[in-house]
Amino acid sequence: MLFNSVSFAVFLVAVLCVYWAASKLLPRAQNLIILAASYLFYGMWDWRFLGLLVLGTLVDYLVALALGRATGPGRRKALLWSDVVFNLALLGFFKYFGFFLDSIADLLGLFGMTVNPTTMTIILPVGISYYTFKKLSYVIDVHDRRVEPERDPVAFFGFVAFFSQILAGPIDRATTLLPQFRQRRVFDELLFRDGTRQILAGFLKKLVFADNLLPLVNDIFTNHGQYDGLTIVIGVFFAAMQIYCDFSGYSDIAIGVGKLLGFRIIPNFAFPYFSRDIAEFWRRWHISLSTWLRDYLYVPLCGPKPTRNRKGFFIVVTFTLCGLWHGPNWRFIFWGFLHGLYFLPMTLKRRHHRFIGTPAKGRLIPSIRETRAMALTFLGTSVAWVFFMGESFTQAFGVLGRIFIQPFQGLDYSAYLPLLAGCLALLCLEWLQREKEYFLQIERFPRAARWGIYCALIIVILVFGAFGSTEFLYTQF
Amino acid sequence: MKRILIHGALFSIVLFVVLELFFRFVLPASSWPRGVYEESGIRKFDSESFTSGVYTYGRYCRGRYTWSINGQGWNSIFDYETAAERNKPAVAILGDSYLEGFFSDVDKHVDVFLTELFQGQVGFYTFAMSGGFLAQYIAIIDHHAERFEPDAYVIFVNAADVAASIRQLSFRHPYYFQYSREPDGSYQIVRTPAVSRSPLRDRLLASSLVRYLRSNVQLKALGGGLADANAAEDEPAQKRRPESDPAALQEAAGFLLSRLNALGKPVLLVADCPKAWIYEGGDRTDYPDVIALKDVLPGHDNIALLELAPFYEEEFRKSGRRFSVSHNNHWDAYTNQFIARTIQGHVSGLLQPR
Repeated sequence: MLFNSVSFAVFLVAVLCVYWAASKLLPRAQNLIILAASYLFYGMWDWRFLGLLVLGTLVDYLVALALGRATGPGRRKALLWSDVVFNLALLGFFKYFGFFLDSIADLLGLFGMTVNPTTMTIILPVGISYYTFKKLSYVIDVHDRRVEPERDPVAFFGFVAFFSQILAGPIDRATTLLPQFRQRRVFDELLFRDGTRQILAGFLKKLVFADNLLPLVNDIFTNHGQYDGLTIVIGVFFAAMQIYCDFSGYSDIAIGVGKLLGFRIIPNFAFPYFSRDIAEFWRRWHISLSTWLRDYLYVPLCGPKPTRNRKGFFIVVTFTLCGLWHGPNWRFIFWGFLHGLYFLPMTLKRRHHRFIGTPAKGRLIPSIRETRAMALTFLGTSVAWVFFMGESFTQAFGVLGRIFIQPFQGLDYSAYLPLLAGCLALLCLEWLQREKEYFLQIERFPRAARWGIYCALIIVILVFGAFGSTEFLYTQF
Repeated sequence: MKRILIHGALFSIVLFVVLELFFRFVLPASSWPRGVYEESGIRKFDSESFTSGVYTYGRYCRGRYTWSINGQGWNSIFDYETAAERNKPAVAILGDSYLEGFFSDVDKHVDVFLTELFQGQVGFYTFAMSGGFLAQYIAIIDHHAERFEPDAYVIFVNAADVAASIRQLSFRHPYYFQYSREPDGSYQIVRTPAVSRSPLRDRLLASSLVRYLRSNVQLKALGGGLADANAAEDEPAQKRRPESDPAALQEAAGFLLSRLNALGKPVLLVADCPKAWIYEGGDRTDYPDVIALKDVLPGHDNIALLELAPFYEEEFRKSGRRFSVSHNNHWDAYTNQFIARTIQGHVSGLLQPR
């Protein structure tokens, strides 16, 4: 059941009706309704993996309770590590087993040894990368006494399986989300409206931009040999916009759905293409993952009082693992490594907190320095996207090389103009709203203007949207 | 919560009105006349409500072809009269969606161009239905067209007209008005129950928003995609039954022609052809139904057969223009005019005293 499907719309309306109706009569049933809806939602994707989700959650629930009771540091550490190993083993088996076997076989092949690994077709349980990280952070937080172990199984199981987040995040923390599960949610009209707006913004990005850009990007990347450099540049720009609109569109819908149910979910994007350096980019892109990696991987790896070199080394390691998190593929690993390299000089020079806050705050037009910084950051991330979005290294290098081999052939570019204009319009809107959580946060506009804007956007979605129910890219990770 | 429900309801009403207006006047959603069934089982269009509209295609509502249902329930600008009511000869034209003509304006159909070519001295009555085939045309003639006592018939045929007409041959089985070949060699008409239209569906389709989503966006949840599928069926290459037995086809073709011959009026069969033949060349022996009709034609004195393929070829050589609208294979206005010009002489021949 995709977010961008009619069945999800029906499902969501039904859940909202039952949830808010029951909230008045049986306030304690809220979590139960969320849990039942989440398991139904997940089971409709693939019921076979529902057992895996329940089992994994049960283990974390019991380990956290045991951590709460344990006092000795040795026992606490043992409990933590057993849980980490359990979770990573499950993730590793389902996500990376085949990849590592194939990679070892390839490596041995380089030394002339022919090995045919017994290949098993392992289906990736949807959302496993996200809910595994969510559970891990909970157990680590309990171990570090940042959060109390949750005794109410319905609240905890609901927190893990929450249907607005289970497919592709945001990877919310127990410290922020679990307390909301412990309390009764009271209907908040402003939050509900905000959620509806954010869902509309998400659908606009997904249906109008991401799904219309995808075929063009695929065509340009696949047939890059037939296109000139200018077309490739357009294709790379489209690729950057496609992945942004797809994932941030998904996140907007997920967060919006959470708001409709009375939850405040952490933002996952903050206008990342206005970042002035790569450090700022990672504070604005897939925020829930980047902060997770920072707090639960990078900081522990660096240890207390790390040297600059140690920090530099582990920043590259963290980004490389970030690439691996996206999937068992060397292109993703290289993409992460490339970002690590981008980040490295800033870490070494301690300049990664140079740009904090809104770009060009209080001004409509950014300064030349800011514009140059934003353009360079966009360029760097776009180059990295080529490896992320390409089908192979050969294709990625081919795409980038074509820019210089045949820069301009005078081809017909008119087919790209509507989407180019659309993307630029979206970026302009986002620039104007860059101090908000998302571009459609227009709660202070007069009602007539707001309604006019909603109607116009719905017309834009109906006329220009692609209604093929295309999967969100990040649900595949 | 009460407030948000009220505001939500109000906004929904405003949104619905805005969308209705937008998809009615700015980007007009495709509209389609309502099918109705006569007691005889003949399907026509409702001539009392939904009598005119605009057919558009695609999410940007391209095309914008006007349609108009006449008093007799057909997509034509002319009303049909009986022999006693008119003071000129009349020719009935039968065919499928190409003749039904939702892909060109109603005033740019073959019948309109023929009327112009004959300077209004001959009436042309089109009885065309999407997805139709020869057995259905015979049923229309028997139960409906004969009421208007036309002096001649022009029937457009293509790839599956014979196969689809005979139940045992047809991939469409069961389909409305087909013949069943009985063990004694006779043919019996088979009528499957007519499609019933639900009033709710009609009411929903009155909304331009619903029609836009269903017909223009082809949203599957609303039954979209059907219109295109129907259009594709009319393409001869896809209509063909690959396992057609030539002998069985010939026998069936003989039966169908004998039914037409028995009308006692001149009949012109106009054989359309796959346009790929014209644009790219193609295997012309791979057209079994028309070949079967040609084979059994001798002996049916009232019937003549005209193949359009050579005329298409000559025209395409001269003009280089294709014979269809841009998004499917149906005739555009130019092709309607070209067809009218092409058959004009043959139609004149039908009306000569014999």
